[in-house]
Amino acid sequence: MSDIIEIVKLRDPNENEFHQAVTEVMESIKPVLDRNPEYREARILERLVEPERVIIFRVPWMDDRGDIHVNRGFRVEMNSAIGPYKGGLRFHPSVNLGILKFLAFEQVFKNALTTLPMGGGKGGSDFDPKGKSDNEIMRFCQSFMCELSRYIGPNTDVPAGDIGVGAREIGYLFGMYKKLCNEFTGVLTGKGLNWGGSLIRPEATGYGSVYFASEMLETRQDTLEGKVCLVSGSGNVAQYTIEKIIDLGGKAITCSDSSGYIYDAEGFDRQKLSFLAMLKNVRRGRVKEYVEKYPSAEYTPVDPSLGYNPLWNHKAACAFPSATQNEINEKDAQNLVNNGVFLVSEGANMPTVPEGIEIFLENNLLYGPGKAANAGGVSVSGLEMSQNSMRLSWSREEVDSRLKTIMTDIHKTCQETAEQYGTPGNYVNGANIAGFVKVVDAMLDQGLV
Amino acid sequence: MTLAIDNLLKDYDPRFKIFHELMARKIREVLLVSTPYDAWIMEEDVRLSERLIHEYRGLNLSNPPRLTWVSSVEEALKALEDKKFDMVITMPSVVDMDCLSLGERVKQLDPELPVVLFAHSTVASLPSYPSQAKPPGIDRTFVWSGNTDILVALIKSAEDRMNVDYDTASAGIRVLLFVEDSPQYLSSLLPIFYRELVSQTQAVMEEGLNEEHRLLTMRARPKILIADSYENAVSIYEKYKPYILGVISDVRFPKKGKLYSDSGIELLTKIKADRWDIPLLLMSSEPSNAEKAVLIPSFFVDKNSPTLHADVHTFFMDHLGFGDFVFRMPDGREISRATNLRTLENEMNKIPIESLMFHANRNDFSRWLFARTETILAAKLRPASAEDFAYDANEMRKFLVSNIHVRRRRRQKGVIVNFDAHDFDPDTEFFKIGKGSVGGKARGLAFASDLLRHHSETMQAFNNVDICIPKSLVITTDGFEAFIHDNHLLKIADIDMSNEEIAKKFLEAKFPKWIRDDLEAYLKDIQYPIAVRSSSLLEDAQFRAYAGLYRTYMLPNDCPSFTQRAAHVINAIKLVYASTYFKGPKSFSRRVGHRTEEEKMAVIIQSMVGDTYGEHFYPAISGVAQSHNYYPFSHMKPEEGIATIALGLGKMVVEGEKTLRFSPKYPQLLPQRSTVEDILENSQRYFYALKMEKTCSMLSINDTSHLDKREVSDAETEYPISFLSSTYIPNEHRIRDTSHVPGHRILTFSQILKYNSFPLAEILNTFLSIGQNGMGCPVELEFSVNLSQRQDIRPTFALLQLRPMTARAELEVVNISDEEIEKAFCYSSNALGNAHKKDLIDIVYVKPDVFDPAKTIEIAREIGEMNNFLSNTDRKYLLIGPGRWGSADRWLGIPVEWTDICNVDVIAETSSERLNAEPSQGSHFFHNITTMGINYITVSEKNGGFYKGDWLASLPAKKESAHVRYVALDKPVTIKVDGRTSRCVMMR
Repeated sequence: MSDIIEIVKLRDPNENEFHQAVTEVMESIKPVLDRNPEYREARILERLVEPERVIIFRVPWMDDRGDIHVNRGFRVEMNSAIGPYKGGLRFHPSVNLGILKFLAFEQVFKNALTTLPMGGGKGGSDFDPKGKSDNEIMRFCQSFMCELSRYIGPNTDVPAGDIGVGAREIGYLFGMYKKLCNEFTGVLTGKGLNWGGSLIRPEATGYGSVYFASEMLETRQDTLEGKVCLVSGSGNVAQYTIEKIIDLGGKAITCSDSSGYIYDAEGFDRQKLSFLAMLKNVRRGRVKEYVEKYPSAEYTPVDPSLGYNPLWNHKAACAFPSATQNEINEKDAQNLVNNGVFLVSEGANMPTVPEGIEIFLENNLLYGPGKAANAGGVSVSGLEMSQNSMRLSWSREEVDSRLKTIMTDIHKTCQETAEQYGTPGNYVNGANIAGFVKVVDAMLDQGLV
Repeated sequence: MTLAIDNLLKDYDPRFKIFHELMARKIREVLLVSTPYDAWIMEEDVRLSERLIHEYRGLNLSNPPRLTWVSSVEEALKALEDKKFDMVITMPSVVDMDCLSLGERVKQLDPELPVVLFAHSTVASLPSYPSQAKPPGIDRTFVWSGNTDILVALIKSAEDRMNVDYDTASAGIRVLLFVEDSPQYLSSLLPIFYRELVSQTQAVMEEGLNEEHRLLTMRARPKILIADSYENAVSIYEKYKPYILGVISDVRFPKKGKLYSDSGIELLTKIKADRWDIPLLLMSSEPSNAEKAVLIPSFFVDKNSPTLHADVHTFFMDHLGFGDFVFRMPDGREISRATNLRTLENEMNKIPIESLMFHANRNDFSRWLFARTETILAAKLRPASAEDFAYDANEMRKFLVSNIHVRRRRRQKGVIVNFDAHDFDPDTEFFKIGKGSVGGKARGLAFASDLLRHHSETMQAFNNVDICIPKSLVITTDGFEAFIHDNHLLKIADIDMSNEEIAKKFLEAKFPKWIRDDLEAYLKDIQYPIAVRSSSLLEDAQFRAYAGLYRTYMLPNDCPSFTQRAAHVINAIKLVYASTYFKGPKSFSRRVGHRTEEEKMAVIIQSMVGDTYGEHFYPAISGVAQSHNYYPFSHMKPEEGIATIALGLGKMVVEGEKTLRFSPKYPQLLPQRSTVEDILENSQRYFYALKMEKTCSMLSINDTSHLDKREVSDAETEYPISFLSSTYIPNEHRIRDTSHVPGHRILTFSQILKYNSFPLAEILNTFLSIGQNGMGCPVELEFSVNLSQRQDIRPTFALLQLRPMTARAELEVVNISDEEIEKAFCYSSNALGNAHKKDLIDIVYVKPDVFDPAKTIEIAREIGEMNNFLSNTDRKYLLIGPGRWGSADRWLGIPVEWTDICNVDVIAETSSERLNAEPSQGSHFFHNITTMGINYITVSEKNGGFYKGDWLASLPAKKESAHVRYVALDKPVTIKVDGRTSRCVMMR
């Protein structure tokens, strides 16, 4: 396995990010390789780390002053073993081939885990949207799509948005694709609601992580009903996590932002949640103001000198880290355990440091890693593709119900895989291995292509 | 109707520009030819030169001509050869030739040179020539009776003749035709007419003109053209018919070479038949001609009347339009009077339509306006006939009133008018009470107003916007002096007292009655919100950074009781006075070496710009613009300027809350608003509005009780917010530039910046450019914009302040020398901000030897800890490290959040071989950097920059972690950032 990493480094010595991603994946799937010698035989790893196709192209565009600029466009079509390439487009000056390969590589397994038929890819450009006018953005997107349109399609490659590519950019890209190819198809996801987009996008990650938690509880014949939950963050993920916790009878008692956190012993009800949503989404205020409205709640400002986050130091049953990377350190993990928390479902990306994860696993917590628990967001992209293919627009309830099914399936896959590989209840292993196995099995099935 | 008010609005006020061109030809050098005796009499007895100068001064006329005396023809001819003369005046007898021959010789030399004969008292003294023929070398003959008036009159008359063609054609200057063949009467009447004309023109001149403008206005006075025969008179009349203001005629004068007894009557009858509206004056030495005058009809004056002067005066006042405008009904009944444009406008609105039509049909309005040198307005009104308005008299009234109103508003621009409690026009833009200085801020405002007037042509581009200076009244510094003196407050300048104690003393002190009386008269009819602002001597001056140190109070001014309203204003003035001696200004004065007691305070009472929405009053936009941008982004250039705007009152901008910063050159280039997340994060949440609750509470020192900090989301149905907002649609995570779709309103100003629904960027570009040219240095301006939902109300752009940028400490000029670069440990040509810092001793830096791009997240955490440590002790520091500070991408730089570095003062972004990152130019923290005046230094070796930080490693660390060190120096580093060139040096 270390040979593979060496090969990758030797072949593309400047792609540090990609090297790191390959190393991490290789480490996590070691038991799989040990158990499946056919993978080695088929040189699956060598095939996995080499993109099926990389497209690099020129993107010339004219700014509002009439000056001409040339950016570089990329699309890394990493793996299509289980479905059309699927992955975001990123417009940011930092974009280069190494970063995109790294992201595309991770995307392959994330998508596979959703149980939906989606391959992995990533693309973008070193174009910096910062400080550009709408017209400049439009001209850039159109030029970008002029070339990209040759390589994508609803059954080939379905890009989505990412950093620097939001609904506005998706609109411009889609418009140009439609003009060039003379077809209205689901070639991009993240579209406007009135022209092919899907509902439940903002809700998906939060809802998904709670559905995942419910499934984990189910393994212990338990439910969220009456459970006290700690939630961090106050953005979309946190808000919809709280909403679904309330829906399922739980009691969320915390939320936070970069300035501090709120502890509301009575728990959030729908009215309080609506106030929080207004505060954060519309007024863009600090959670501190929640206390002004609901004085029974307590506000604690951030204090880095503590060395831990007191939000995780309350008596509770479940924790939903929904704020940011590395928000649970070793001490926080221990505090959670000490306070009786037996379930952690990660809405954020990699919120727990590796030492913290160790503590969760050692203490036999139901620990849903972000890779699996926050797959709701990616899944809704898949559901948008499905709706486009069927030329249907599902209702909120329909999308939500399918999201629930997907999360149940993800959970089941992770759980079963963990068991198969001898680490029952270890969703980390389950998630790492399940996505990988699904992809490589498909590759084997499809022969050496 | 065809004549629209809008057309008039497009007109700029070119009066003074045109006036400059008027009376271009002057009599500057006069050659006086006389016997030594006559010369002696003139020089010694009547002191002609002296009296001429005196005469000119008395009439406020410009430069008097210079007289050169010669006593012989020989000398005269030599003088004419040696020097250019504009006029020759000869006495009847000269030593070596008679005056007629002299005239002919002069005409041979220069046929255009006017030659005037000054006869001694009677015609008999003239050499003989055919009785009705004009002597060929003499243009006109006057009789010298020792009165210097005649000299002025004949010079003016000659000048009038020289300039009449150009001045009538270019500016429609009026002409008064005077027909008189008798040198005697001519000599006695002409000075009377000129004196009357000059003094009446001055009497009706608009108030508040400065000396230069007064002199210029005089150039537009009507001209007097003299005819001495019927044919001559008819020819002048025909030539200048459109410009004839009136005709004054003798009865008996030559026609076809013969003296006729009724030529004058014939002439006036003919003119009356041709132009019934021209006022006529028949003058005769025979009283019986009065009856003939009635038949013409014409006004009549007896030349020998003992009340001649008064009679002429009456004619000027009543018939030529120099007196009050007397409104009459068609039957002649007087119904009211107007003394000036304001009362004319007022009365026009009130008088019965019959009277209005009566005067309009007689061109009375335009005549009256012509007499007031309102030539453009008069010319505009004159052709307007009932037919133009489809005989709708009310439409005509509207047209006349609106035109006068617009003109009246325009002519007040740039002029500070002395306030007269008994007769003031409340529409005046700028009043002052007192005789002292108006202070720096008011000076800036007055200058801005003047610029507006001078650049009215440029402003035409914005004819759909009402660009103005808010109505202001300045209480000059002598008010402050009187207040301080009367109440013995000067000693406070030297006593250490708290601001509250000082304010208390000032509030208890007695306010000077002379200000109070005027102020109350001014405030009587004012019920709109007002701001009471400081305007000290030192404030806003170049190189003196007093801006923002003194107080401003905003008053809703809506208390039903006038006594209380006035008391509130006086209280606010006292508090502004008190702020002169507050701790902030005092210590600043000490620092820059001024004595507080030398500071004097004027106060501006200014109408606030905005509208009332429910119980709140606020402008749609407040902002500050600077002609030099110390934080240029992307392709912005420093000299292209920068603006910062916010909804509501300007306090939001001043306090550095979430505002929108943009370059007026590129209003769509918004570094703070590139992504949906950026927009949500950075858009304005709160705004300040004035509470309009009709409460009557008194102000106290720190009183902001009249101000309400409102949430934008609470007021989203109010017009400015719905107009300036876009909508965030959470389901699509996008922002649409409309407020007419469901979703959350986000204040983006897109309608203005993207779609130019209001040309803010262009207006700012224009103002910054003319302001900078006018002041000769980079300028800062404050402004407010009011937008109305009603289509018939034009949006307003009000300029609140114009000052040199250097009036603010953070904008002082910083120079960096080559020597400094040489001895610096860090140099950059890509620095943001402008500063000269000499007190930084704390440095936090990323250790270059252990820097690892894979460890940036850890480094960010370590820096957060250092920052936390330093902010606990309130220490500002210099932060140095590789890559893009605050980058979301951990591979491009250290991904700190703002909270991780919130106590930083200067940030240096160095390059590293291990990071493949373009410089960030501080873009990740742009808002914090710009609003908090933090300097962001990008050290790029490609651009000649360098950083030599090895010496830091040898210093003991106060705190150290795996990748970061904090050192505290014994001696502070010097950091200079020259915002003009974007260069920075850091020196040990």
